[in-house]
Amino acid sequence: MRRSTFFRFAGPSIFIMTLLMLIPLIMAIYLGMNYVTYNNVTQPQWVGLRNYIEVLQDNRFWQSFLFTGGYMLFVVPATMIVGFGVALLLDQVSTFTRGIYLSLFLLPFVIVPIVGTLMFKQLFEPSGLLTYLYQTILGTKFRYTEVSVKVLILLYGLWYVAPFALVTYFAGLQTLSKDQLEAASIDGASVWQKIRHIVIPHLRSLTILILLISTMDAYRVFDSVFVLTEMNPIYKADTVMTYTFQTAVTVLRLGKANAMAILTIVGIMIVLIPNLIQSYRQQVEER
Amino acid sequence: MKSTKFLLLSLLVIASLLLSACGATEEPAAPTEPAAAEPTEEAAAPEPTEEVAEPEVDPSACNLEPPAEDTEINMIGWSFPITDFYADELMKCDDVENLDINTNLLASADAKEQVRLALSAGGDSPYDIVHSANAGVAEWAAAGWMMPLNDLVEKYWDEYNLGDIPEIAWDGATIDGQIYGVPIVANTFHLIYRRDVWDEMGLDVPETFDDVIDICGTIGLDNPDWDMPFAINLSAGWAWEIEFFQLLRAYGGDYIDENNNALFNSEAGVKALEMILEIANNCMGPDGYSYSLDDQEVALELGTLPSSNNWASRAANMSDPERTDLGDVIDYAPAPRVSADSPRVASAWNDFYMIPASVTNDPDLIFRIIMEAADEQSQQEAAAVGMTTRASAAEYGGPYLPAALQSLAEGIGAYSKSQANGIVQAKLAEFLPLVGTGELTPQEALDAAAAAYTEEATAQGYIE
Repeated sequence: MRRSTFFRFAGPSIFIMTLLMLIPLIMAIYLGMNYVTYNNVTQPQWVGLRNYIEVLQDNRFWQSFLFTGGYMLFVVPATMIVGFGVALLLDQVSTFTRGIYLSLFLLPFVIVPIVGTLMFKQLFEPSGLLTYLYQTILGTKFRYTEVSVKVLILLYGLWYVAPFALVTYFAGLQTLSKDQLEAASIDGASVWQKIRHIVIPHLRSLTILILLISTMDAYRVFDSVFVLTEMNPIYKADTVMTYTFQTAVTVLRLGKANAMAILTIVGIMIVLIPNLIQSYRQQVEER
Repeated sequence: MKSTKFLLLSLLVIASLLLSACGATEEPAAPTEPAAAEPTEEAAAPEPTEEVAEPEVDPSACNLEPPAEDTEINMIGWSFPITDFYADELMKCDDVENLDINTNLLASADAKEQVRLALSAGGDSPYDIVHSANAGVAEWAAAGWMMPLNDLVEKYWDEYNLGDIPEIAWDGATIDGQIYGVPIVANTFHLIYRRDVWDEMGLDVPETFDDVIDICGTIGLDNPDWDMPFAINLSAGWAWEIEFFQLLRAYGGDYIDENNNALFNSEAGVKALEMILEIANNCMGPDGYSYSLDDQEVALELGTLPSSNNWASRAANMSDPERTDLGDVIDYAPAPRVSADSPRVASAWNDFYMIPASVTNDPDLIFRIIMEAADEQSQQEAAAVGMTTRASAAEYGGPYLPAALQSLAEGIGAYSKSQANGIVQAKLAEFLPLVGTGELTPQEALDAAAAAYTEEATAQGYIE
């Protein structure tokens, strides 16, 4: 394709992306190098890299970074495993039944995140249904502690994000040739061997896609933490996003919050770029 | 095999539905109430205007002369029952010819964020009426974003009987003699308790927190009839900060001095935190650290909590037969003190309607729209859903009102109007809850908060 033809097709997208992503990004980098509160938004004071250094020396930032990392390490693989498992089960049932199940499984994905979290939280409040069941079954009260709140955040993350992996894997399974599976069965392959040697390789590119998107989502987790912890420091469940929010909204340090946002983007890139390169290489190989 | 898969899928669906559907039936309960009330008000509103030929005869209508040109008035604020009511009152002016009223009621953090974004950048204000609480006066008016209303208050003092609003409420909106807002809502803390339980156990209404702790011992922390004997709100950092502020003032301390230097890491501060711990340990137990205001309200209404030092705005619901059958036995008393001669542990709060300095519409018209929504008739009706500011509306309020008014009169007053207060609050919210978990002693938590506050306040130019 000629370069001019490429730009004629891609021009509008490049223009919109520049407008919506590049300019705000440059603005955020610039604001991160200024001392800005709401009192001097129109006359920010240039401080160079001071905000960035302050963020990197801030213990709470690193605590929130660690919890975000832990969240990613649990939610991303768990989402993929649960999504994959349920997609395999769905693939086995009749078309009519799977339609019903699929729409039901998609419910968490359809619900607005903040509403979903509020509903989830309500189940674990003193008058909540699951609190009652917990007490009835285990004979002890459900209490909000550092551990239980972190577990709730992880479970909510799993409940909320797994449908995305499920739908993606399920769509991928529909493109898998039944002949291959039948041939493997005739050759005496077990269920696990068919999954291991046929299904998983077939879904590899989708797995990378899910991994990328789930990782980005997990890195940006906000709503569930905000609602479930009410920013209470005793739960030690700040994420990078909630801490950035607190810095901007409660202490009104917009410059520092922008520096955090930029460092967050850098963090995401460090995680994603190797995956993107791998994905690109795989695409080239497949072609 | 097929049935096993079917069973597995069914279990997963049930688990998923439990998390979504079960919550869904309960969650919207609170939001739907005001939403359901809205259409009724709106549907009812046009009737009197059509029937009554002279609008000034109907005091509940918006009795304004139509402006000469089409005028759009935008209001921003946050939602709770009484502010929802005032928003409906503002909307009545939408029936006036050439007037188009828009009300945006968001979550409080979102509304404040919108106001900051809109006004900090300069230029014309997209909002004509801004809802604010005490902290907003300190932050927004001191930043020069809000219009002094002295001239308008003076001009309409008699017409709208503004002397009916007590001076303490006007003070909340006044900085250096400039009035920046019209007080529309009052709020404070007071004791809510079960009179039947008190009678049955022969208990006296507590006058101090030591009395409260004794009562907790009598009722029993492990009493299976109750979630806990008594509750204050320690479920979040901001909640700790409010309880601490009230006790600190009651012990004679304060947050900052006139030069914005930290004062709260004092003996009074330590006493305040020790009292919080004592209340938590004797009256609330481990569940107390996550027992939110909503939990307290629901528990009082359901009859699983016998007493609480709680907001007057929460008490307004306690007589609502749609919410509780216990309205007849729930009683109210002024907030306890820390000692016989201390102020009551009850801070004074107000909400205001303010006008941004950079509005493009006629401030006189905007002020009159505010006053139509907050006139005597409106506040008398508003008293059914919350605590209003006009003395003449007091008799229309709920049974909690005498206790709330006494708490206000004998309480610790309002936050000072320094912009640095916001930083104090944020830093205290960060450290105080760690006292509850035992990670920090009261003195350590206060010193850590003071150090963090001083660093930030110095960086922001509040401390030289």
